Amino acid sequence: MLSNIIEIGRMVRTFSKVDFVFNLVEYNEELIFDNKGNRKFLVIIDFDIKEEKIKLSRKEIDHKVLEEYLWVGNKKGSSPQDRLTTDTIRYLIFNSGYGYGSSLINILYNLKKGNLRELLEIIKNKFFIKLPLKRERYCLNLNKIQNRKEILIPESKGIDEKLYIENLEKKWEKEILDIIEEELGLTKKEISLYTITINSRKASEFEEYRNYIEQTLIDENFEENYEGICHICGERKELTYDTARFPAKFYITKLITFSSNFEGKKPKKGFSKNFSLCRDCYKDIILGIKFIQNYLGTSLGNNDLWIIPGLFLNPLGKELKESWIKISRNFVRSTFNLEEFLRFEEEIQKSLEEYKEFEELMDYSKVDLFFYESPPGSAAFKIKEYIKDVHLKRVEKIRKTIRDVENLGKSLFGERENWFLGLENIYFLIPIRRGRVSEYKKLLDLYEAIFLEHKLDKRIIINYFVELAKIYIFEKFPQYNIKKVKNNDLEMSLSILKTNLLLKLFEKINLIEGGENMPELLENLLDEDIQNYILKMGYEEEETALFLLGYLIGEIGYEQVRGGDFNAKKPILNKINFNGISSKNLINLSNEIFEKLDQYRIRGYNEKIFSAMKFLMDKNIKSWKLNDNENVYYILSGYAFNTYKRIKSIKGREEQ
Amino acid sequence: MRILVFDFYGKMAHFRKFYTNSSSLSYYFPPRTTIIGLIAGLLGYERDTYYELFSPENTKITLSIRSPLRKIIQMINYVWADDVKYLNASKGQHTQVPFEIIFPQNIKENVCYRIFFFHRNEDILNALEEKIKNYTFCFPPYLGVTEFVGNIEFVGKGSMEKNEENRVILDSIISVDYIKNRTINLETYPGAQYIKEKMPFSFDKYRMLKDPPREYIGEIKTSKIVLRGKIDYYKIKINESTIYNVVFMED
Repeated sequence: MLSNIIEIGRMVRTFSKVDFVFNLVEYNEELIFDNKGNRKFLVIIDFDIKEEKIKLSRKEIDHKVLEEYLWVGNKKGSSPQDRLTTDTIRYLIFNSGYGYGSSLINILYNLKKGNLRELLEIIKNKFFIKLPLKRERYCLNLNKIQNRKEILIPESKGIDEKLYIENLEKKWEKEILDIIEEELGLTKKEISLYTITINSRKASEFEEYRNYIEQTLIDENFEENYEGICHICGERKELTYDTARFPAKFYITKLITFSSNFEGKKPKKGFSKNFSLCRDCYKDIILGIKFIQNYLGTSLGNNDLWIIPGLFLNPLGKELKESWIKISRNFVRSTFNLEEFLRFEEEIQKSLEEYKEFEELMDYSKVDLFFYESPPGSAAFKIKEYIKDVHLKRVEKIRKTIRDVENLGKSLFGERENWFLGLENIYFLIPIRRGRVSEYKKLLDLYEAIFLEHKLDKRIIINYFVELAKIYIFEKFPQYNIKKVKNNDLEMSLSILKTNLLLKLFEKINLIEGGENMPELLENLLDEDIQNYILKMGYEEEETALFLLGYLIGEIGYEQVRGGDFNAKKPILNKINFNGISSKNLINLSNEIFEKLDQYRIRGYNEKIFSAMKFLMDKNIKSWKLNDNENVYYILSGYAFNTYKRIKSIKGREEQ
Repeated sequence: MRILVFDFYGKMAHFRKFYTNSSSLSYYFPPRTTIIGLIAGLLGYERDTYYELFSPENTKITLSIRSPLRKIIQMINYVWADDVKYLNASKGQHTQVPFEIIFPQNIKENVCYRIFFFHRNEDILNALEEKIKNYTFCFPPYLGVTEFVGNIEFVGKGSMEKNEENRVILDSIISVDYIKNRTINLETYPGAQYIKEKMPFSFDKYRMLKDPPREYIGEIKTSKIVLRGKIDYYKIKINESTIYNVVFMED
């Protein structure tokens, strides 16, 4: 992960046309929305030098505004403030801490030369009042705000200087907030940031300011620097252990429990022994994370995800390229769903040259898949799953197999439904209980198994599928990630057929063992459709018996609602115990099914199927290999097969 | 040259990556610094006193991943202590940390690493051999965190000799630098899953990095790495029938 972030960061540093400082912008959701979800505001104090007037205006805050006005946080600690965009109004108009009073004056004295310095000098002279104190201190002349009544600076004679400053600061803050409320209609609560512009030019438009901020921000993190070997590039340089400004906080220095010998933050002790980095590597990490956040983020199965491509070994001295990174990302995303798959196909047609290079490098390429949780408005960053070093050849295999299985679905059931079982589609086949934090792990572990070719326990997967069927049958939608549907019976049947295909997909990508071929005897007894399905699914004898039993239940169910609408309940489904059917109870169930076939006068049509089912069940019942849940699943598979075919043919007739 | 070979195993492992802590990711196999710590613990050296004794000049270490591996992430509670005085949990606050744990693919088996260890000082080799054979470790072994209690089993005393070939199936992990410097090709191998880890290599006596961190390639399913090119490696013979092809972490 780190190596990939660094490589991406280095690539951005080498090729980026945007100043580094824009990567230091802090996107804090709390600055954008209040706790009721209302948008918050930025107040702009514009210095019109020609007219010698201050104009106030406001802007709703969003990510773009934060970037345009270069919100990088206030200066840390007790150092004089020097940011021209801040969340504290007194830093701009007055500041009782160290320095000359206002950030504008502080920065003026820190800049060596240039246009901004000249303008700030004029602003100091025209818009600021020098306070009648021994120390050189300034405050903004509020009378310069358009159309204001006069606000006078109080006398300082005979008053303690410190007390005088404190009182004046409070007065000045109140005065400007009153003016803002009157002029812009905003209360303090509605404002999260304040900034200045000079003749309508934003601070970020001044190169000197951008350079100054970059320099001070990086320097701030190197305040306690020490010499040593960088944990990233391995060179002996000036180092820092201060990682507080990483845009994604996967490494913190807040708790001493994480530091060597519990020594906390001290140069050459504690955290500096754990992870130290030089200026360049520090910058590369920030750039790398920013690039990933901006371009490589996506979501899968309702989980935030970064797809971080990299080269496993850099062959022939090849370096990362932006186009190559984005193709790799899209290549992985094309396994998510049909839309992404088609979009990728289209994309490679448009940029064949780039794709060619990507293909050449495929043997050496890999991606890290990084599922994370970062609640809005919080700096917390938790890794949910980290799937490391997924080789692109594996991704290619998954892509190809998804397409093969889709074609299998089409050949078995026609093209009416979308049989593309991408990774996103799998999310809707694995029940995830809402409100349980650990539940998402089921899905993420499954994704990991798919990408890293880890073996799966088929029985556990089948338990998920039976759970899925129960959601439809007992209408447990609100508790799960499965959407409420109009026709439970049809949707359950569809889902179960998709799970059949999913098992096939898992088999083809080597996660589970496949079954044997269909017993030859059945070829004379069963319809071609059924035979074909059993053969394609690779059912073994027990599975075939249950599938046929389920098929017969489907036949009875059809008779029970014949003439009714699709949503009518089928009493025969009550015969299935969705909590599991033991092998003993299978015999009872098959007997009951026999009776029902008689009762509905359809035994004659289904006699061959029943006899095939009975033959296989009796043959294997003494040494039945499947567990109770598997029994339910294969019965449901047969039921789903029958029901889907029935409904499809009815709908087909209706359409004609 | 004599070399000690022993297995280091347990039910699960966690070797925290140096650049993650608020979510703790793990390497698939222990870094060189961890193996040194393990050996120092077995021999009874005090904390932070042995880095120079086991410097790359004095030792040769490598390992073979003996069990197919996988990872899971589990949330665990950490004591919330931003000051030493809260280490006794008196603040009463906890923080939940996602914690990556290494497991064997087959949960009934163990996570197992076969360690190959050489030291210039024969006395150290003898002392270690005796401790391992008699199970008289000074500090008990663990796989990265003390909760993951481990065990050590003596495999044998081997002899090692240098060898050179154009294609080698390696039993050990290998550094990326080794591959790059010799322009060697990494071959794909059926069922193989190569992974790459960047990890610390050595400390000075103050436990600051002495050498740059290194990247290593390991194979987590078959434990075999196939190389093509001009490869100089070591053949380690424990007896006539047991031979391992290894490259040391220092090479």
